[in-house]
Amino acid sequence: MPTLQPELVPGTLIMLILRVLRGHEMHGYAIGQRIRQLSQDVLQVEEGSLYPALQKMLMKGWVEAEWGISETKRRVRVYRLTAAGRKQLASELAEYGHVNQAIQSVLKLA
Amino acid sequence: MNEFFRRVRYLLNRRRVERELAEEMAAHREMMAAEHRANFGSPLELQETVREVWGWTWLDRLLQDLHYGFRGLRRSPGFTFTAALVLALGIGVNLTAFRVFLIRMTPPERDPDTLVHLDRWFPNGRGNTMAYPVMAFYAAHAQSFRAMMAEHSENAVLGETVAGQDSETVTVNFVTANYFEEQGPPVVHGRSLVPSIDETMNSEPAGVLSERFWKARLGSRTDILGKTLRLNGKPVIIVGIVRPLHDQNIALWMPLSKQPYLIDGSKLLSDWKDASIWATARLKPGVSIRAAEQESRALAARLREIRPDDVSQDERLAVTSFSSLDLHPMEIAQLLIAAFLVMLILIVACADLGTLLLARGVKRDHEIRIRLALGASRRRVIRQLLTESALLASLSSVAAWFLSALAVKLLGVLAEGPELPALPDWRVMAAAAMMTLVAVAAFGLAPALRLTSSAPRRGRALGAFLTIQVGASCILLMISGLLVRGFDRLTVMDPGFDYQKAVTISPDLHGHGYNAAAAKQYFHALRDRVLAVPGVERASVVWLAPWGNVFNTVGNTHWNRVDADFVKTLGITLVRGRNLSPGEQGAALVSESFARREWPGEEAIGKILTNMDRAVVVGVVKKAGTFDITEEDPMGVYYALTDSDYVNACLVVSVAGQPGKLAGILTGIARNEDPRLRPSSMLLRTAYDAALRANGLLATAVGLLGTLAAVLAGVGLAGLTGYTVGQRTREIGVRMALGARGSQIVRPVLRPMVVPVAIGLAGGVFGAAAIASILRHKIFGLRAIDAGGYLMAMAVFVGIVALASVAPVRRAMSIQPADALRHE
Repeated sequence: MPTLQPELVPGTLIMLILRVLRGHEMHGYAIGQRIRQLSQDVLQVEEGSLYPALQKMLMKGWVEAEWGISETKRRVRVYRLTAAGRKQLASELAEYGHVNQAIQSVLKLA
Repeated sequence: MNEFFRRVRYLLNRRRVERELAEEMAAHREMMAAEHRANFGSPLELQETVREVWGWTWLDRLLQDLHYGFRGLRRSPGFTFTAALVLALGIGVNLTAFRVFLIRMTPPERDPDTLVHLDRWFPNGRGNTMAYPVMAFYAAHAQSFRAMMAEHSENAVLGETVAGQDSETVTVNFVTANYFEEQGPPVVHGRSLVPSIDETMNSEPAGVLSERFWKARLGSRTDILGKTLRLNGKPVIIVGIVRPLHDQNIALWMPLSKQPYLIDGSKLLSDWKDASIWATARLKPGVSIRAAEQESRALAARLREIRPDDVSQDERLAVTSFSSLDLHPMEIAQLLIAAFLVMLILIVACADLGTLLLARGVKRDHEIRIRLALGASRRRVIRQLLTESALLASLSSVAAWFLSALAVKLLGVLAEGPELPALPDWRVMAAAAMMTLVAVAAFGLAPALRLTSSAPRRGRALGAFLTIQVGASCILLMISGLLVRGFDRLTVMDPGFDYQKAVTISPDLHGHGYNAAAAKQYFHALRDRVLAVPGVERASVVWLAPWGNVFNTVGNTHWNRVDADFVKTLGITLVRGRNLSPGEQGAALVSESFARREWPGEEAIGKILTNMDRAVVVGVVKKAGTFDITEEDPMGVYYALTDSDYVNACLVVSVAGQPGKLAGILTGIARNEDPRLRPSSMLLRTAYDAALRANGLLATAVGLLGTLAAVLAGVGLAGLTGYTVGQRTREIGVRMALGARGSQIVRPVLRPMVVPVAIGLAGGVFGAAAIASILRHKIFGLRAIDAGGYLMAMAVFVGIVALASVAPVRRAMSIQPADALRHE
């Protein structure tokens, strides 16, 4: 397991969660796992930031939660993206792309 | 559903949400364990972070603070009780004043926005009454008004009216019959006046009694309805009882159309010159005051074509709504002063509480240090302390709410005013809430900052609180001192004439249709008859009754018209010149004060008066105290009586011995001269007593405020001395052990009081003098520079300081060195 723990750029965690949830609904643990997998173990989502982020998204109405049964037959809470969440993801992606582009062009020139 | 509702829902279902979160995290942990993953971290901490996400932590902290504060207050009931009482009194006095203000300012009429009063407006002035035919013209033609109402008051004699028999003069308000349905006082029993019954040609003479008169004079008998009373000797059928809105002196209401029936010879309803109708109206829906005034301009022009002598060029009506506040600048000044005086009580209470909180803080020092040491931020502790203050203030303001409701109820009973609405009023609630907030900021903030600060204590906050307390309560004490002295002065006042044995007899000849010649003849005959009565010394015909309710003033000068016997009848001292001679015209007497102002350093006699009637000054009287009882030395002019004054004149009679016994006989004689008349009589002593009572009430009210302020200041001072002793227990103990003398112990205890008390006293004197110089114009006998009044207040204050420091100083003297070392 890599000891390197790159810090997430603040605010990007929510974007990542939104993105991961776009395809399927998932429970909290699975969201963390999925982000880790997709980032090839670079991004480790700490539980201490995952659940507050999910709660915030619930509060904002970007996701909905429902109790369901996991693959391991355990009662888990499954999160699903709402219409508002989709919109939020789109706008965050757009903004992120924009900023990323800007950073890239600075890095190239420097 | 938006974010706010989701947050509220979270708050309401918090326990469930947190249970679910816990379960979710447990599942997470299991799955982690299955994969041998790292530790999950503290679930408690996570829960806490999640809670913060929903943004309700402030509420949690507030609840904690409230619990903590409540426990703290319960632990020291003595402090809590004293503090809450002090503040409840402070807020209560203010709320009471505010309630009274609201009641006074709220017109009791139904729907006051569309109810208007009508003045006649001329390019060079205005008149607040008009003649009945003028009013009737407007009522018939104006489109702006749904209804117009007329009022006219007159005295009438109730009961049998044979000379010498038991009868009394009462005030009758003649109104158009629509008065009751448009602005009318609520009906208690029976019916009010109704246009369809009481304004028909052959209607019976109906009367409606005021509830107060009915209770006081007729013993609340309901069988009075349908019975007949005799007014001016004429039968009047009582049809109902109403509760008056304003004028508590009115005994009964009758239709205006019955005025000539009751007053023999009255031409009120047909005389275009007799402007004695008070006119009001209801605006039609949607009609503005401006539009109504505009219409009246055209109507007045039309009326002027018919009656050119009775309407002036460019005349119109001035329309004022009942709901508009129409305050004279002087009244505003008085209101502001009254508000300031009651506010002083709140200031004293707040400063007092600040002192108590600081003093208590010494005992809580330990606790606060521990909280800070455990990692509470200073802000958190300040918030905690302020919450405690707010809790205290809220308790007090609830108590103040009830106190003020009770006080207003009591005042209502005392003033025998109309029933006061006891419903909770949002304005009073808002005022209470605001006062609570201001109070918390005023008394809570400084101690909270002080107690959490690590800087060494120099007692500046305490000093400031104490100065404010002493200053504010000094102002109140001094003002009440000045008022009490003014009151004393009034009781020994010399108005410059002999009011004790004077009676005035008013026959109201004008109201009975007399002309000038007949009136003159009547008075001459009456005077001769009256002078023949044993016990009567002198009699004089006067235009305006002395100390009556009618004044004639130009600038600051009062004036009246009197005959040649006036000076002797009332025993007025003639200083220079001569008296008026019988039948003389164009001559006048002036008061010394008037002469001094008008012609300083010159001889007044022989000067010509031009600003009112043109007349030569023939004499100077020492004092013209017959005008306004509340003025100490009014400036006055007595002109010689002219023939045209007789119709409105009255007879002033001086008698040997008790004037009360002769008054009935005298009115009987006045009536015998013409049986149609219903003369009324007044003893000048009665007017004097009434004025004395009014001033006495004021002195009592402010005196109560002053006493309250003094008591509050005493509590504060005792708190301060206690604080000093508490803070210095160890030091005092050591000094004791080293053999200090008593004075060496006492001095440092009292020293912190010296400067604030001195500054406060000085500020109090200045403040009181400033207020008194404004009040002086309105309150009889009050002097701004009155050394006696100030000294009295200071003496009381020094007494309070002494009393307040006795207990703590004794405690300081009895400190045992051994106990002191164990202290803390």
